Parts: sequence; C-alpha cells; structure tokens
Amino acid sequence: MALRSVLLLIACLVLAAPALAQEKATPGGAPEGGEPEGIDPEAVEAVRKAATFLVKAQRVAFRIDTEWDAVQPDGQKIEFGATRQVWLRRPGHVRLEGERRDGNRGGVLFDGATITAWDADENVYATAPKAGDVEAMTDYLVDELDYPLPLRYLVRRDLPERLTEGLRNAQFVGDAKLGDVLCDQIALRNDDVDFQLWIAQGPRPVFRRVVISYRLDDGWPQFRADLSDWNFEPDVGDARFEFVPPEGAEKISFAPRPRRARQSAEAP
Amino acid sequence: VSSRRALRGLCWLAVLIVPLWLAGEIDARGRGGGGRGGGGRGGGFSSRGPAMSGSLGRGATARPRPSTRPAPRPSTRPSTKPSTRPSTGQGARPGDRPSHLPSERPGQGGGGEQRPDRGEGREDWQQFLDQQQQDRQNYQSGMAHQRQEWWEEEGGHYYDGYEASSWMAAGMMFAVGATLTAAAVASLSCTMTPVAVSGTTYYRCGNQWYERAFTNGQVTYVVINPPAGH
Repeated sequence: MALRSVLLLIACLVLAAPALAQEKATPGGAPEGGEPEGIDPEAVEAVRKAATFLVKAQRVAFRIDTEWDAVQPDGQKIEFGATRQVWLRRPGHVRLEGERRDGNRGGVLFDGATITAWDADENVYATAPKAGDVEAMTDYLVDELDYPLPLRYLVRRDLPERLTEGLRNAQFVGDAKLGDVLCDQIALRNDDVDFQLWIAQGPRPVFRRVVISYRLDDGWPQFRADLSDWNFEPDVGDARFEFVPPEGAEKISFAPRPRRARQSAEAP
Repeated sequence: VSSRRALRGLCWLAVLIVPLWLAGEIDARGRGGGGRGGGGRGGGFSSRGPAMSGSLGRGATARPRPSTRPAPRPSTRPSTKPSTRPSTGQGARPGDRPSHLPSERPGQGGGGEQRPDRGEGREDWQQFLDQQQQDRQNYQSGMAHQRQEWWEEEGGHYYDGYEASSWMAAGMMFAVGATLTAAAVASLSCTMTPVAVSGTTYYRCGNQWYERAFTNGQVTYVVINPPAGH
C-alpha cells in the first residue's frame, strides 16, 4: 500500500513539473535569469572612454539613423524610423535636422539664446528664448516644451555619467563588425532599460550603434540607432545655427506640457 | 488510513487539474505569440511609445503606452450617448431615430391610420427635436469629457489620430486646451479654415477655434477660446 502511495506521489510530481517550471517563466515569455550578473569594469571603462572622447570634441557632426518599435493597442509591434544630421559646436550651439520615414522633414536648432523648431512640410516654425548651453537647452526643450529629442545625451557633456550611472550589469559581448568598422559590442543594464553599445575599436572610439530595450514596457519595444559620418572638423560657423523662415512660413508656438499648463492655470 | 486517503485524493485532484492548467497555459501562450487580431485598421498605426524617446530611463521622456489607455471605442461611449450619431445638420437619418419617436416626419405621408394628427405629430416631432438636441449636447459633452480624461491620462497627447478617426463623432466639441493631430483633424466632419486675426493665424472648424502648435514634436491643432470679436 505504501508503495502504491509513493508511486502516486511520483506520478503527481511528474505531471506537475512542467506547470511548476512554467510558473517560473516571466509573463509574456520575456527572458529572465541566466544573464551574467555583475559589472565588468573594463566594459564600463570602454563606455566611459568613448563618451569622454565625444565630450572632448568641441565641434562635431554625425548622422543618426533611428528606428523604434511602437507597440499598438492590440499588441502588434510596428517599426518607425527617421534620419537626422547633427551639428554641434560646444558649448551653446546645436542643429538637428532630419526626415522621418513618412517623409516629414524638420528640425531643431539652438544658438545659445533661442531655440527654433521647424516643420518644413507644414511650413511652420516656433521659437523659444533660452539662454545657456546645450545641456540647458536639451533639458528645457524636452522637459518644458515637450519636444522629443531622441539620444539627446549624445550632445551633452554629461554623457559619460548618463551612460554609466545606475548600471546593474555591464559586459563585453565581443567583437562585432559593422560595415567595415570593427567594434566592441557592450551590453549594459540599468534599472529601467537594457542597452547595447557598439564602439569602434582603434584610436577613434566613436559610437556606431545604440540599441535600447524597454524591458519594463509591454512588448519590449526597442529603439535602435546607427551612427555614422562622424566628422570632427565640420563647418559649424554661425550660419549653421541661423534660421531664416521660408517664404510664407507661419510662426506657431510650442505647446507646453498640458498637465503642467493645467496646473498652472488652476493655481491662484 | 485517513491520511493515505487524503494523499490519494490530492494526487487524483492534481492528475485531473494539472492537464487543464497546462492546456490553459498553452492556449494563453498561443494567443500571445500569434497576435491578437486587430485587423481592419490598416494605415492607422501609432508611432508613439516609450521606445520613440531613445531615453535610457523611463522618466520624463517615457510616454504612456497607447495600450494602457482606456480605449475610447464606441462600446465604451458614455451612457449619455444617444443611440444615434449626432446629426451634422444634413437631416436625421430614419434609422437613427429613437424608437419612441414617430415613425415618419409629420406631413411626409405614410403611416395612414397609425399616423397621429398633424397637431399631435408636430408636438411629437418638436419633442423629438428637443430631445435630439439635448442628446447631442449630452453626447458632445460626454465625449469631450472622455476625450479630456484620455488626454490627461496620456499626459496630454493624442496618438496620431487613428483612434480619433475611428470613433470621432460629427459635431463633437473639445475642451479648450485639447490637442488634435493633423490626422485627427482630417477625420472631423468640418473643414479647417485659416482665419487671420490681428496678424495671427487661427483656425476655425465648425464652431471651434484652434491654433497650431508643436506638441510632442508634431504640428497639432490646439483648441482655444474664440479670438476677440469672434
């Protein structure tokens, strides 16, 4: 009788094992566990070195080809993209100009005193006074004027800190060739996102690719960017940061963050 | 003996339940992996979402996901919504009338013996028009309110307007400060017309006034109070 009970118990465990194993899996099938924990100081140093290399450049131009996943209400993931050209003259001049894949063209520029955004297709532009450096401008543009600026940390002088703060994991993945450029591929993780950086090997450690996975969001959407045409001697004279409204252009405004606007409107 | 019976009972329970549980899991995974339908919305995909920001965090630049918003679909419309789509002034459609209304417009023939006399019919019709007007106002108010809530829920952003085109009602009114994308504007039944006032270009569509502004990097139409003198 005892043997029969033991056999029954074994049968139960065998049947229940797959279900118990399933319970351990992360909802949605997201991978969990198994990744190497810990931080490789050399990987962090490689990131910091590349970031510092960029920060030290007083003038630089580069191209960004971005694509991102947009998770639809029904869970379907759709890819969108844009191309941007960046001209930077530290500390207080930057111009970002580009085109979305849907053909919409526009950009943002900053001359140390005024932010200007324009939409060439709608033939409109908006200006906002803002004295200061590029760091102050990007904070103001994104946080106050609610204007998106993907990868804005690339033009900021606190880039090394931005990339390495709050890391929970940093590892070399290995060598990776992007086009003709041999890169170090480095995988990092902070509390919010997983991200990977591809940094060119050699005396000019520029970023060649950035992939960010928003693992806390449904569908794990990704942001991907290829960075190319790095130019550390670009033409960044004053004319580059001047905006001349096209004929017939309509001047519009930046709509501030509605919640903030509503709160201020309600304030006595 | 009793403990052995209990153990045996538990085991048989497990034998019966575990396969059902597994079946449920497989079914759930199958649905997840195969998508959840969502057909029939071609060309209306939203490009918004947290991944658009390219941010290394989920702070100020992370946007609420469209999938998290309360879906403003027809089935979730406020209870104040009448059974009909509000009229655009082009004449109520017969199928749109509430069931308690006279079956025919007075004076348009038909109905014969069942038709009330002219005076009574006119009164009924007036009641219908009054009721329809009230319904329309309630509906518009309700929709605008819901839209506003959604707007606030989403941090003040409408997503590309495809949602709007699928459920926006004709004649719908928005709260001042609401923001409409160009796609949402295109789905309105009125025509957006530029009006120059004291050197500033405003836009009028039906009875609502707008000005254009950059919202989240897009050119949008923001609902405003009518300019002075309008």
